[in-house]
Amino acid sequence: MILKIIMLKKYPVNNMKKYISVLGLVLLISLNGFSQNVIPLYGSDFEQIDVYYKDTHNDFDNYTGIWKYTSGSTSLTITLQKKIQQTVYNFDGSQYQMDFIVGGYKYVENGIEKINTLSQLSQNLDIIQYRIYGSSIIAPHSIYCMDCGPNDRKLLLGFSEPNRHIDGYEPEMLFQRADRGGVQKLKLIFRTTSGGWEEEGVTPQYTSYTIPFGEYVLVKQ
Amino acid sequence: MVIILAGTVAGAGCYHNKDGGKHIYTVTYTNCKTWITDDPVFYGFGKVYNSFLDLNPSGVSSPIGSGYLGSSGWGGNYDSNIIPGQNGPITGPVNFLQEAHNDNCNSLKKMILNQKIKSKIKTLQTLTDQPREFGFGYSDTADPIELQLNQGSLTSVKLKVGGTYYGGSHTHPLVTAPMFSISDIIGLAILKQRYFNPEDLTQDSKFFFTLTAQHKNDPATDTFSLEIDNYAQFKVFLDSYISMTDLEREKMGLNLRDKYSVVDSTDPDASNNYLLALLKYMNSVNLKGVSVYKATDENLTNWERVDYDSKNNYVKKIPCK
Repeated sequence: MILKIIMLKKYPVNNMKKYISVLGLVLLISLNGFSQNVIPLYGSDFEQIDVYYKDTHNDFDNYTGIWKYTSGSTSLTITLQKKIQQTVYNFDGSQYQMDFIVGGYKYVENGIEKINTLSQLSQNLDIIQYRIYGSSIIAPHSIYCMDCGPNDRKLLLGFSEPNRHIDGYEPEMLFQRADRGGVQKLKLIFRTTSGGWEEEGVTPQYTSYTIPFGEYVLVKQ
Repeated sequence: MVIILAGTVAGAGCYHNKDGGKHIYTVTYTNCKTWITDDPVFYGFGKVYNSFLDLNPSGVSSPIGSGYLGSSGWGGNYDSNIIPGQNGPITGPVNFLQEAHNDNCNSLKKMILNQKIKSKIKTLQTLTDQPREFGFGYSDTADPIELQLNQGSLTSVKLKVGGTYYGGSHTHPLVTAPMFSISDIIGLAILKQRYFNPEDLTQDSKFFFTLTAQHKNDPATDTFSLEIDNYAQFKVFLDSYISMTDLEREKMGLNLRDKYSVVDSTDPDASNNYLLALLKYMNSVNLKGVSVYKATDENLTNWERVDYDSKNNYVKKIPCK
């Protein structure tokens, strides 16, 4: 406030715009000096702190959008969105920032909608609350990319279903672009890599998710 | 800006001040679980905190299960709790440290002397190049039983727990990481927790869960075994895990898989790198009371304990004698 009064007294109104422009430039240069170190997300092991793991190669852009698998009257629609510069806290309180992909899904079986989480995507939630989320861009030579060529990428995302947690399961969705004949396609492997446990005489409430495990080819909508 | 936690245990569980560490056998935590143990390995006494963030940043406090239970607790940061004659100075209650290691080594030897178990693990060694997972469960009262696949999933078998089941073995197929998952580790805790055999007042080291896997372009297999050092410590993590939300648990598994996903599976040192990723992750989330052992030969006769050396960022190997 004091600065404003002094400026109003000292400078005529015509000079004010020029002054503010200079001030803004100085501020911009100062902020730039304090900017975080940007590290490409691709290939990172997320072990540094106070950095920004950024999707510098825009790999996520190959996966964002609405994708649909159809087989007769059964369909799976998945929408993926990019969320940039989210803050991640480590156990020891240190932090870093990272870009993420989040998603929702709708599964229709024999014409009946079984589950739909797509409306979540219009909400601003904690990343882990989205039913599909993650940030791993998988490179060739990764165990998840054994069939990859040198320029191929995959996307490894976590999966969850509302009101259906299965103890010991580690569900994941592995996406890979599989364009054919000018049509943008996405190959999806939906699986769990851990099977949990079974106890004699105990019947688990669920042993599978509403969306069946398996491979799907989705087409860009 | 959305805030998320990478270390899924953060904020959960109970914490205590390590100052004044003494032998005690009953511990009660305000607003947390009451934990009673007659395990003389457990040390710890002092003010209890409900949040990691409440702890004194000077370092006089330590989360329960962090591996620093008292000034000389077992199962923690092995940089400062070193087995004598292996890697440096003795700074801990070596008898307990050595005892758990010896117990685990003896248990592994016993496991392999059991021809039924050995033959199953040998069978698994021949199945690691298959596109599906295989496994066996072991109990006091029956022959080994084949573990069943989950519904619709080729990449996961269900570990048998409860009754007299005390161990399990499984493979990870080539399309998944050749290293333990968080659920595998929790599975071992569940195995121990659900075990009931009044005729066997068992030791922690009786329980095991092995993994046999191979790497890309390498037909040789590795066999690892999860062994319990200190169930009281392990249970602290288990309780913390159970108290998490479903989403936090799922995130924990994903975080570890993210670590595995960046390992170059064609690297000649890939096996070690997967181990390093696991041990670092366990360290980062204070997962204590359980150790990983690796068979040093395909005949499974020799084993070594693998620990994370955080100062030098490498996998430290402590052979079984």
